[in-house]
Amino acid sequence: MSHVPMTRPEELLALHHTSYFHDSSFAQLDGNRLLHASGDGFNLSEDGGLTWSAEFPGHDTAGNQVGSSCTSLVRLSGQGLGLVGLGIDPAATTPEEKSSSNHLVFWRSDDLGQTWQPPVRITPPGMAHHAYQNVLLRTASGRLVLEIYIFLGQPYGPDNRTIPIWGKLVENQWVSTAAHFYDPHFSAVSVFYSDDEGRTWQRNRDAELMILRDWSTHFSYVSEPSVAEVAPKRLLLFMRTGLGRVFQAWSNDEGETWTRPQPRSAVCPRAICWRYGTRRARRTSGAATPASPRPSAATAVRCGSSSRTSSPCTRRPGWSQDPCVRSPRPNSTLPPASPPPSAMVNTSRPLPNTAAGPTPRSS
Amino acid sequence: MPDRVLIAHTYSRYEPDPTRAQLVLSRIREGGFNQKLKVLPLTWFYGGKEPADNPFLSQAYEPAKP
Repeated sequence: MSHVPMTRPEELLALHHTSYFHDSSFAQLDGNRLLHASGDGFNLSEDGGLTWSAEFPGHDTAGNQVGSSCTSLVRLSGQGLGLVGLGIDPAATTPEEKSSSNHLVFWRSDDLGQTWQPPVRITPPGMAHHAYQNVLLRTASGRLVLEIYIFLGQPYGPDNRTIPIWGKLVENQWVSTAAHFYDPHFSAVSVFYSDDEGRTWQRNRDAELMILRDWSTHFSYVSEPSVAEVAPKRLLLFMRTGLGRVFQAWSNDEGETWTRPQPRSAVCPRAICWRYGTRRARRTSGAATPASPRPSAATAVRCGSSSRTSSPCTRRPGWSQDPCVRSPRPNSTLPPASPPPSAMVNTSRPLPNTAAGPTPRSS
Repeated sequence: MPDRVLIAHTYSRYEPDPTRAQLVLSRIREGGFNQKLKVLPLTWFYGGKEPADNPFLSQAYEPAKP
């Protein structure tokens, strides 16, 4: 969590408290219809994210579950929809074998998620692969770009103790911080891309991107990459490190080769995730990068492209003015009192359209 | 949907256990959560105003001109 208060929380259109942690991805289906995926569950919104359906599963034409962790959704051409998730070799039996068999797979739907094809393997066997959430990019040319990371090494920390070993003192008690604890591994980033809407995949030609602290081969871990298209064929990749700065690399050939990672000028503690939106946003800021302070991992999506129209969003009367207040007003239309923990719709907290907003609170 | 931004971020906090002298993640209690999904109007990113070009940003990373 962050102790930095949210700026102007009274402008929030809706605030949902969910249990999806680090694994949400979104795609705009049409109009105000949004699809959310997290793990093997989906939610649908008909009003641009103000309210959400209960969670529902997906199955491919072979009857198998669709979706897993490392979730990334993307719109394809026509009615196409793509989904990336983590696969595990079914022949793996031990925890070590299962972990080392982690790989990324791609499910494809040609009818906006009504039906799904069986998954296609993206990353090759032999090494564990992971991806950040909501990072699958479809470029202006139609190429799909998926940035992934690998890690190597023993899974335990100093004194041969099992993680969590990374944490902080809170009220004089040592607690582990959520997310990644410490990363006692060697890790590196690479990029996979597809020019046939996810049917086949290739890896970037110039091998793994690593963080060299100097040319004496001292390395820093690097993980959770996230890419954006700055201009046609020109991509910018951000990567998490333990060095107090997000590192970046550029590609001028749509992800086939990359510059060596370099630290960004802006200080940013750890991970970042982005999506860019309108042409205006790209003109003015290079890329819109809504992100939250660590230890939160942020996922942001901007739907639509270039035009701004009148807002279809209707703020709902009768709800608490304060996004931090947990109980709606008595006369409001209430969600179920004891919601299933994973259903976003039940934890929605839309805000009223009031001129006098609430006092900012910590988010 | 050109008028809003959805941001989902993790959110966990430790709270005192009601009976044991230890801190526990708020997620594990009933109704707990570990993520916030915020639906923000695009104007939030522009100080509550309609978006407009900022000419400085396009120059910010250009070489200095003596």
